[in-house]
This record gives sequence, structure tokens and C-alpha cells, in this order.
Amino acid sequence: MQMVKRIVGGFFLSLLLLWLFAPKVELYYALEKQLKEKSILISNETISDTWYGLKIENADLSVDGAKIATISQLNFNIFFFYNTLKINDVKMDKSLSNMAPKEINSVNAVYSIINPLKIQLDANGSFGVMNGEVALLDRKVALLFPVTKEIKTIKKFLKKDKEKGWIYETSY
Amino acid sequence: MKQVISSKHLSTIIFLLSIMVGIKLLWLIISMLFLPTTGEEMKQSTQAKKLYYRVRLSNPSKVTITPKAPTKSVVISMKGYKLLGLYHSDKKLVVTVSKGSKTSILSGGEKIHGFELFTAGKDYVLFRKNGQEFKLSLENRKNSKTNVASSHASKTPTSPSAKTSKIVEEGGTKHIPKTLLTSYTKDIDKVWKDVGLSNYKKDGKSAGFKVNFVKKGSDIEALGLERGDILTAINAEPLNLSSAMNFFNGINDLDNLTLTVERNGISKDLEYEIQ
Repeated sequence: MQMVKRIVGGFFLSLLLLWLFAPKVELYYALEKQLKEKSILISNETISDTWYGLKIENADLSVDGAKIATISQLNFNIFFFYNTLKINDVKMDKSLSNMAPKEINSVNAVYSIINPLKIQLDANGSFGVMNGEVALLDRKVALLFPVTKEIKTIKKFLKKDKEKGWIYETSY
Repeated sequence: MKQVISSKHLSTIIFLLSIMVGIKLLWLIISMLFLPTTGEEMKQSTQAKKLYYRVRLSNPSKVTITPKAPTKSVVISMKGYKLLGLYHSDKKLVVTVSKGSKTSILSGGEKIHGFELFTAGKDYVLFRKNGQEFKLSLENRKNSKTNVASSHASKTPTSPSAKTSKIVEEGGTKHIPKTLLTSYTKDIDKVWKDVGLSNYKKDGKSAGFKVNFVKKGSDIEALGLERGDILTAINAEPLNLSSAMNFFNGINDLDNLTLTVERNGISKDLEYEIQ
């Protein structure tokens, strides 16, 4: 019995330590490298290692070499069974003022063990409110805008659904 | 001697410590072997010089001229020749001259029918032949333009795009009014109504934009773009989101524009002048 206790305790302790001792900054650099292959770059940011994740501040987001936004704060919270990415205060580049929403106040992405095949998304900003999900197996993204404000700039990418509101769908 | 820690507790502490050390070591090895130690930063544009400069020969008023006084006093005009365009800087002199229906482009030092081009002033050039100097002045631009425009109109009166569009073709180059371009930059929806573009990738990397449709009778059609074209460069700069945005933002400062398109596998330059 003593041995079983020790093995079970050791297993959970190992998980906890794996999480606490994880080189989160280096893992973030690895993520940056993966994103770079898709021409997405996060630069000029300040990275802080928290015990349960990472805090990134004042990051410039570029796609295909073009700066598209400045992000005030990004929080990666990793709890293995429940992981979140919170993005606060995204200001789009002036050059995109005719093509994208001016401001995104917050974006939350949640990946949990309860729904392992999907990432849940929700956001709000100058466009209104957005809910959506990323289907990992189908490699599809579906975003729903039930409450809209200024969507003139993104309307061309959306489809109107009489019941739900405006919908954006794409695959990757 | 009395024991401070029982052997049972000691073994538990050693067990916990060994797990901690083991996991720390594991992450250390993973970091050293597989994880990058630095992040990715955006490389600043080098502002590299373009491969070539386009010279707007038809607009002498915009050309910077360094006038050079002719060295000899005997100057005779060149009958039958017309000076259509002139570019003159400290290092380079390029002119366009015509005689009859034939047009020639000459650099400094080159000859046409024995006349050697050797210097230029603000609105004239000087040729040398048999020790004598010959002066050729620029054609009046307004007159010249009116002539060309009217001849163009008589040549293509029935084209639907020519009727609706303000784009005028002149000597093989299309002239786009700046107001037309700004109408697109001010109302981005107009762009998407007139042309459908999608990112074009080659070997997994962005290599331009593919034209999915062009609205009939639109200004985009008048530019000469066709469905299936792949836009690969703007003014010799490879086209991607970054260069497209730079172009879009700096459109008001442009005087000329070269769009490189790949049509049916063949690369083609579409030349425009912006007025």
C-alpha cells in the first residue's frame, strides 16, 4: 500500500513539477519559430515567466513582413487540462484602417480536456462581439458575430445568417 | 546518538528531491537539444535600391535638370527631329527623339544619323556633328498630349472600358489619373468589387496575388488585368502583403508604376504613368 501511495504521489508530483519547471520562454520561442514558418511574427515584446504561464507585453504582430497590429498584453495560462490564451488591447496598424477593425479589446482562446478537439474563441472590440471555435481535426475556423457595431471594413469577409448573425468561415 | 530524521522520512525526501532533479534535468536536456534560445525578431527593411529606375520622359517639368552651358556659340536647330522626352542628371542623360514616325531613345554620347548627343539644358539638348552644335528643344507638352489623346480617341472609340474609365493609353503606356487611384484607397470596398485577389503561394511561400475575377467595364479591367493573372511584383519589388501595404500607403507619391504579372506562365510587365 505504501508503495502504491508513493507511485501515485510521485506521478502527480512529476506532472506538477513538469509544469512548474517547464522552460516556458524557450517553448514560446519554439512557438514563434513555428509561426514564422507561416509568415507570422511576434516581435519587440517583453516576456515574463509566471509560475503558471507566460505574460507577453507590447508585442508587434506582423504577417508576411507587414506590421498589422500592436498587442498590449498576451497571457498564456497553461494548466494542462485547461489552457487559455488571453489577449488584451489590440490596436490595428493605421494602414489597415480600411480593411480591419480598428480595435480589439480582448480575445480569449480556451483549450480544455473537456473538449479536446476544439479551441473555443471569444472576443470583443470595435466590431462588436465575436464567438467562435477552431475545429482541430477538420482544420476549420468558424466565427460568429451575434452583436455587431462597426463591421463595414470586414463585412466583405462575412456571410449573413438570418438567425445567428454574421458568420466567417475558413479552413487552414 | 539520537537520529534527527527518521530513515523513512529521509527516503521520502530523497525520493522527492530525485524527482525534482530528474525533471529539471529532463527540461534542461530538452531545452539544450531541441528548443531555441532566442526569439524571432522582425528584420527591418534595408531600403535597398531598386534594380532600376523608371524615367518619366514625357514630363520634363518633373525632371531635375542641371543646366550646362553650351561650349560653342554656333547652334543650329535640327530640322525634322522632335525631342519628345528628356532626363538629365549629373551622371546620366537620356532623351527620346523622333524623326517622322520613328522614335529613338539615346543616352549621352550615342549618335543618331551622325548627330552625337553630348549635353542638355532644362528643356533642350545639344547634338554635335562635324564640329557644329545642333539644338533640339522639347515639344510643347500640352500640344503633344492633346495630339496623342485625340489620336487615341479616334483609334479606339468603341471600347466599353475606354468610355467609362479615365485611363488613357499613350504610346504603349497607360496613364492613370491619381484621383482614380485615391478613389480606390479611400474606398477599399471598391477594390474588392472590381477585382478578386487571393494569396498565391509557391513552394509554401507567398509569391504574389492571384486575380480571381475582374469586373467587366471596371477601371481594373482597363488597367489590363485578367482573370488568372498572378501579380508577382510592383515596381520590381516582389509582391507580398508587406510590399502591397507599402504600395497602398505610398500610392500618393508614385509617378509611375510597373506591375509584373505572370500570365499563362509567361512573365509580363504592365507599365503605367500616374498623373
